[in-house]
Amino acid sequence: MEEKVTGGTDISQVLTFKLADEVYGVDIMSVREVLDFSSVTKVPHTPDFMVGVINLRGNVVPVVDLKKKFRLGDTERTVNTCIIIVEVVIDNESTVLGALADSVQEVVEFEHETIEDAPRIGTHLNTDFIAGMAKKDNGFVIILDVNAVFSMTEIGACTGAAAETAAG
Amino acid sequence: MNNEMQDLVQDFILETDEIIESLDQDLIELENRKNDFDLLNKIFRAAHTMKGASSFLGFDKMSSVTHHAEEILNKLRKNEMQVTPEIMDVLLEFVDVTKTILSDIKNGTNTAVTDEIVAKLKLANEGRLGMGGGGASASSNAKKESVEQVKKAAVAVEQTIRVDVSRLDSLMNLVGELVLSRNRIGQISGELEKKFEGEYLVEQLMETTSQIGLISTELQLAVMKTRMVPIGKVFNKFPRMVRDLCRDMQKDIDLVITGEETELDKSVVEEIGDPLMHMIRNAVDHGVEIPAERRKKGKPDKGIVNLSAYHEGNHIVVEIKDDGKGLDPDMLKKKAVEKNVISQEEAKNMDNETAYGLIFRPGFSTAAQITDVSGRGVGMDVVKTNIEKLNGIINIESEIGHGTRFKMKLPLTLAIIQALLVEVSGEVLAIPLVSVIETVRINEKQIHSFEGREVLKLRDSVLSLIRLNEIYEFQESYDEDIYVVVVGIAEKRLGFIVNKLVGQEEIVIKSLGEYLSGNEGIAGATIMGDGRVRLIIDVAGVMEIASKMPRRFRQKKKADSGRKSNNKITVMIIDDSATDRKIISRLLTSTGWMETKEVTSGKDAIKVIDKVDPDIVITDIMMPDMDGYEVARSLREKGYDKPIIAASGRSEISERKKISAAGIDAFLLKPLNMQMLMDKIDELMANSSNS
Repeated sequence: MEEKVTGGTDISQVLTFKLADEVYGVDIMSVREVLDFSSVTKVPHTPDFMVGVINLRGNVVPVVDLKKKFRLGDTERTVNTCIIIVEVVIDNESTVLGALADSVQEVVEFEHETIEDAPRIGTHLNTDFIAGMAKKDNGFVIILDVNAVFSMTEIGACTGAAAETAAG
Repeated sequence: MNNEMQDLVQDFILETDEIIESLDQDLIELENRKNDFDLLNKIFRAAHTMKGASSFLGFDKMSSVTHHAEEILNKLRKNEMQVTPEIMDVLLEFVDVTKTILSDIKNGTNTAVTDEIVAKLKLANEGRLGMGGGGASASSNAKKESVEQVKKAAVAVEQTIRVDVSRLDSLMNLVGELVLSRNRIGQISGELEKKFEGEYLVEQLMETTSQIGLISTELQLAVMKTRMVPIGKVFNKFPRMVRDLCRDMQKDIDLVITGEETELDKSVVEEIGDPLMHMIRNAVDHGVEIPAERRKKGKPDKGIVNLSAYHEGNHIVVEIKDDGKGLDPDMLKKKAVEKNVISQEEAKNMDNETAYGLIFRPGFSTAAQITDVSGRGVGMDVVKTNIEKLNGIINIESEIGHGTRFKMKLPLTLAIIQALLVEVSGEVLAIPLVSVIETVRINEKQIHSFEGREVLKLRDSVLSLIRLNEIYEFQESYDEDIYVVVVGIAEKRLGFIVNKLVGQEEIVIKSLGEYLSGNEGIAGATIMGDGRVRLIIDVAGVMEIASKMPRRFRQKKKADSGRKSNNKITVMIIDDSATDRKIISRLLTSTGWMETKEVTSGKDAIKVIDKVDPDIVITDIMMPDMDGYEVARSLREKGYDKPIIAASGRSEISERKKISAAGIDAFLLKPLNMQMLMDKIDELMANSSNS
């Protein structure tokens, strides 16, 4: 995974954003664009971290609330709330998804050596989602592995929940 | 194989496919017009073209088989031989073999066995098969013709270009985007006009907008047309099928085809082949009787199956009509009950049209005997599934002794559709218009409860209702006035309860994507003129979900909340049978929120009514001295105004007038069960607290 983050060079560019009080990052290569939060259409029979779908220039794109997904509480909609559009590879097919963030910070360059593996304890989330951690100022940036965050098992959870609700 | 060769083979496959298809039709036609020499010549030429091309490309099996068939055809056209059913059989068999050979060529396999057919063709040619005259082979003089034939065919083909379907699909997608943008521009310029009315530039904009609207509509139609194929492509294979079936079953049936030039989207055409085949088989096998039986009924020996297609608004209608024995609704219901497809209770309340729909249930077959052709109860299920997939509607009309008519209404195209926009709990949803039969505005109070489901009496039929907010788990927020959208999928009809009707719009179906696919009840999404995403209701899916939903007792919630404040509900039970009183009493008290007062006769009831002041009275009908009607009447005279339910073992249900005249609110059939009882009580309590 680290190879992916570095993109084959010594430097990897990471877009940082905030969820609650922590700073997260995603590899800039998988980010398509960042949008202001606009109207989202709810989709029934989906887990609560599925915010809904938006219109991205004529395409229907699902949006996920990362905070809800990581159980960090609800996302309050402010002027800073935005949607990061990422391209993920699911089942060898590239899919476009949106992720809700409290605010987007900046693009930071990290040297490869400065990115460390995720510690096993002391974070709010399952470390499978984490590609690595990098030091910045006095804190850390948690770099997410987008493909793992939206992996197939997660989708299974989505449609599985739908089937359950339908049956119940 | 080099490229050029491959191209040639591709062309050969395409051309031969068409030839074989037309051969099939023409041969059937030939049976009816035995002495039509133009037709014979046409068939001969087709076989000849096939032989020439296949021998040139080295497909020896094909050329040898075709060669033998050609010889027979040559004799026929020279009148050296007569067209007999036997010869027709051999020729049709020959066509079948060529089909196998062609698919072998396509797939690079080698499965076709030609020895048998070659032997048969030889026999036929020598006149040893049935009747027929001898004659010299005339294949040699045909060679010159072959060159001309190929040329002619080439000229005809040049009128069309073969285009990869995926290119048309992407064109269609682009047009879809354009339609969306057009809707958006329309909306923006509409708003601009409101704001700057009368300004020159705005007027110009409005004009251009409507111009763009017109052009994109035309463009959309034109692109749609490129994907349109005549339905005849599907229809063409049926005469042969009907002929073969008739020969198998000793029936005499004319398949009359009309409207084969009606065009519809390729994807739709591909999907309706199978269902049509099953329905025609069904008509031939179960519908039309054997000649002897027909004669007895005073019908002509020859049965007629009509297959027709025509446009109706934005839809296409395909009809299959036979003049056979028709469907018997009572027989269908009986069968269905026997096979446990429906319950006795359901059967009793079923109208004819719903009863006809039973034939689509899996595992249901009306044929007493399973034949080679149908009766396994699979075919009609296939019909239903495929039609559902297309969002189509099936209508069945039937008259015993006079035949049956299946009417299928299908969308012309699948990508861009007309939709009815409705509002449910503040969310706007789109329902494909092809599934919408009608819309009605009703009052909450008109909704009744039947076996735990909400129903609406609409004209002569009873319609099951579904609250869309429950399906999609939205907050419930209904006013007094609500709308019911009556939808149909295949043979089923259902009413969707919605808050508001928003309007009708042309929408482009977009997939929700990998991530959200497989969501039951949602067919996809679309982007509206205002740029918002709206979900499209999958009508078949919603029906599926609804059928899985537990039977519920909606009104109970309301009644429950009322109950908490004023303790228990008192029910007075009037019945001369101690056992019956005990049963009812036990059922009611087991709920924990009802208490009962048992009385043995009407007289006693009248005496204590004021003192007990029950919330509900349940009375038996058949009682000594005073029967249930009289009891109810007397109670009403005394000013008792709360619900009275009558229960009886006999089916007094037919005496509805008598029941309501006596002031009875509901009738229940004994033996009572919990569900029935609760249902009625909930319904009545809710009604009386509303009023």
